[in-house]
Amino acid sequence: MMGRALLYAFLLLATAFFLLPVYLVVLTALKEPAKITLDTVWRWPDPVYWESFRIAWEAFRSKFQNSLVLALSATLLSALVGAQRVRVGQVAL
Amino acid sequence: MVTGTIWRWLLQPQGGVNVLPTLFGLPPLSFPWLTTRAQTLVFDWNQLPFYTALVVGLVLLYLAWSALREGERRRLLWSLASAGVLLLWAFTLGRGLKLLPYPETHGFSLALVGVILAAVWQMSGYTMALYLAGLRGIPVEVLEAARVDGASEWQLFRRVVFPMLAPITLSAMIVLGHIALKIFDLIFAMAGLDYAPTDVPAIYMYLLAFRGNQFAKGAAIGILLLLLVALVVVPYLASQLRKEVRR
Repeated sequence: MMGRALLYAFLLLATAFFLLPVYLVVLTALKEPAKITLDTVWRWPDPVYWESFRIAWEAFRSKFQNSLVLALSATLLSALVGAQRVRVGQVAL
Repeated sequence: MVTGTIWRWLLQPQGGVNVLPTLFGLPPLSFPWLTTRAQTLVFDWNQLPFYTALVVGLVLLYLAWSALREGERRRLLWSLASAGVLLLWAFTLGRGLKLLPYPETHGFSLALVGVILAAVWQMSGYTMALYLAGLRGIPVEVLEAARVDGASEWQLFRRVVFPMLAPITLSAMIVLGHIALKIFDLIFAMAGLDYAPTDVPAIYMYLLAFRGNQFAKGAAIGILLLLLVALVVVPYLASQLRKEVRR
């Protein structure tokens, strides 16, 4: 019983460790820029402010295009190179 | 980079996790996280002769003990006498011996605790995915057979599951080890380039090459890093290749 309680306590702590940063990012994204202060960092945004997402998306779009081009070409090329290595390896074996 | 930015925000000395206890009516924490200059497990290199003598003395004592068990009087006497002289020297003259005219202390920088937390947060998902794949690869029949043999859940994990996951553990350690060796972006985002307590070879290489225009030294560090990573990766690849050839 004690062991199970300790296990659940550990799992709760681990869950908090993994989810708190995500929660903080969501909270901060939903706050008005002027209301973001260090001491009220965990306070729920009041009112919820969505404008940051619109501004971020506008700036994000062109940079995301670059990321997309980079990700697609790098993934395809590395997969191709990797496949060649497998083919050569098979021939050698 | 994203992880570094999130955790930098989370580890602000006046905010983030430090103010979490205030939500439960407790006083805030005061640990400065990345901005601390404190160290733990500090070792003064001046004490190297003392500790060397201590270790060698203890090894000699062990040799004396094994000689006693085997009934070798001559080896026992020599080992005991050498250990005695060495330990006597260590605790009398050895303690006062200084290699340098100033203390040369090095320890584990507590500023790295925050970086370690962020790295664990970042890399755990990848490791979990690896283990999940490994767990799915264990045949159900093997687990059932162990249960039929009367193994408890803990024994099942320790004697069956964990040994069968050994290749996954090794792969995870190799991959994470080499990522940690060449870490750059996390430190860059969390502590910046110029903060000595969190300095790592990749940051130093970047600073030397592109800020100091010392490209030869930067390249040399790059090669050293490559060799260190190769030390981790090459034996693993060689063992994998040997296994494949054996099959």
